[in-house]
Amino acid sequence: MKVLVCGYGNPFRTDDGVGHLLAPAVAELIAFRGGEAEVRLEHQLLPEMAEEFGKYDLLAFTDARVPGTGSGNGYDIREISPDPALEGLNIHSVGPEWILALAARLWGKVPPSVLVSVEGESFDFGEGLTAACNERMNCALAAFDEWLRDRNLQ
Amino acid sequence: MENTKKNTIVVNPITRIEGHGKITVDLTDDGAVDRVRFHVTQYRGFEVFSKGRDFREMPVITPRICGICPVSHHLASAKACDAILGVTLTPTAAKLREVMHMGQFIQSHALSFFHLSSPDLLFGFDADPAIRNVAGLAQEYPDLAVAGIGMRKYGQEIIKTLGGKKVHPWHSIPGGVNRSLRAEEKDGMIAALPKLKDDLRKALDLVKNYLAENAELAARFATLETSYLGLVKDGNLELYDGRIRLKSPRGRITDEFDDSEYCAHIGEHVEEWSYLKFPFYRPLGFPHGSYRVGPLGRINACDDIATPEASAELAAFRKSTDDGMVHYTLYYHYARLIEILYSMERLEELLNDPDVLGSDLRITGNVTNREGVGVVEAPRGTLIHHYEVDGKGAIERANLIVATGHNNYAMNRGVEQVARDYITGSDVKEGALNRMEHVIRCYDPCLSCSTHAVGKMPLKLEVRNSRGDVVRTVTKE
Repeated sequence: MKVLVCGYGNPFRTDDGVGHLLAPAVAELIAFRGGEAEVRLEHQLLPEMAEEFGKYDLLAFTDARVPGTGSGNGYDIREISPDPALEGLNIHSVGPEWILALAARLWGKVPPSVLVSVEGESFDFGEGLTAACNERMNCALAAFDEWLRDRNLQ
Repeated sequence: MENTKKNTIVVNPITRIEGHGKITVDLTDDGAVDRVRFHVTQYRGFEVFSKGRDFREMPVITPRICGICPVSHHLASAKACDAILGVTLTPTAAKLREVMHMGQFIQSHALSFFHLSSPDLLFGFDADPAIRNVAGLAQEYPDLAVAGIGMRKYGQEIIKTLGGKKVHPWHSIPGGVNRSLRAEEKDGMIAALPKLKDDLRKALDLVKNYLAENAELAARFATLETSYLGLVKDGNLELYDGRIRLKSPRGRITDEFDDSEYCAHIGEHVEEWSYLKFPFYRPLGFPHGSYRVGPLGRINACDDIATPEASAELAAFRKSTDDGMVHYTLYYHYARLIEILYSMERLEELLNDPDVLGSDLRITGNVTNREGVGVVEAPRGTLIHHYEVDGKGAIERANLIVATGHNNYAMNRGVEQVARDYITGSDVKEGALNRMEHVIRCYDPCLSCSTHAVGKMPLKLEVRNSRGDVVRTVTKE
């Protein structure tokens, strides 16, 4: 199984950088289960990324999210589908569903996709995660490993 | 803002531009537009917090101002540092810097035209915002969307190849560059150009047809008769290293000076309602000395373009008016595409030059001059970095004049003109809002650069009554 792991966010904004730290760890879990993972780290999702999606069997996006969103666990593992309606008004704020929709429109089929998101505590200037975000990241990784195992994605 | 006797409409922030701004429309008691201001409301202060840093760090620090045109800051900063060292670059270093610069122009202009502006032109200003965006473009004009994505990707790959990253690359260093170009990398860049040029020609046809079919709109839409400023080399369009030229609205060369002399010619006016300054040509004062920069500024300021196909396009462009000076703001898009064409042709020239594969990358030195000025054309216009250092090289003063600032006066005037045409009273239709935004979008301003700001850009509209109370708020997320 060939997987693209795309971590995005701003690593100079403390917990906004959690996507960058999650991505290589997610790739390791995929590799441990026999998959072949390629990691891409970006500040934001951009239209040109969509062109390559068709080369993979699975897309895994890793991102931070602001408090008060998501399931309330502090992290979420969510299977996502193309959705053009989620576009923001500028390319600074598009989500993975929108990029998937763009890929589907321009290049046809897109592979199954999953978003691993972790709630941040602080988005102030600075490198490294807060302790709370770091703990949530570890929980998210454990949950992602279960998700992989449950779906037998080897 | 003085609004105690007026109704006020505030569009805040503007969408699909890079950064964050707002538009305030003051209405008279009978609902007519009285005054319009385009505000930039964020502040980061790179000029302040770079004080005390070693000047050699500036080419790494200043690109953080922006995620869209970091290469421009990287290069202007490196040029200012070269001046402090008092060195002249090796041919290989100078040409490799220009290779990255051409990649930057291609990707940034492609973003501006294909992703941000073309939906307005193709779907119309009154079209549903749900389709008037790059997703709608992908749906209705997939070939154009793919072409735009391809150009962006190409330009970004050049930046990444030389600078290690697409955003905030590190390639230029004081006195040169830190990496050479491999033959196979060069060959790959050359091989991709013919397809990109074909795509660009189609986009040019699209814009030319649009402007011909909408000649009345183009002639009226935020049109301003201004002076124009841009770099030239032997009179030709120049993007990396040339003299600064100012041309009058009638096409006379008002002045041409070395970039290191900018202070004597360019002043900066400040208004209390915006963090973005208003640069002007000192001999004429403010606002008479205001001018425009960016694609239209450069295309009007130069005599010609040194590459053949872009030169032919420039000749066609100038036939749009009797005297060859084009003041139509919508023609920024046309000028932008001509510059992509030039960038592709110039890139091809550079890549076919044996110097780009050289290994003589850097001239070393110590602080020779206590002051250095570096000027490049950023995609959005003339970018000036000016540093003063102490004997050890610590920054004592930094001054950055960015492209968006040069166009500040023109953006304000243009937005006001469109508001007068499309707004009466507080009932502001989506199309009117988008027309005002599109004026700003023509200039492709980078408000992150201009105030060195951070943030995302929802759209907020506030309507205030004659007492200054907000009576209506509309937000587009």
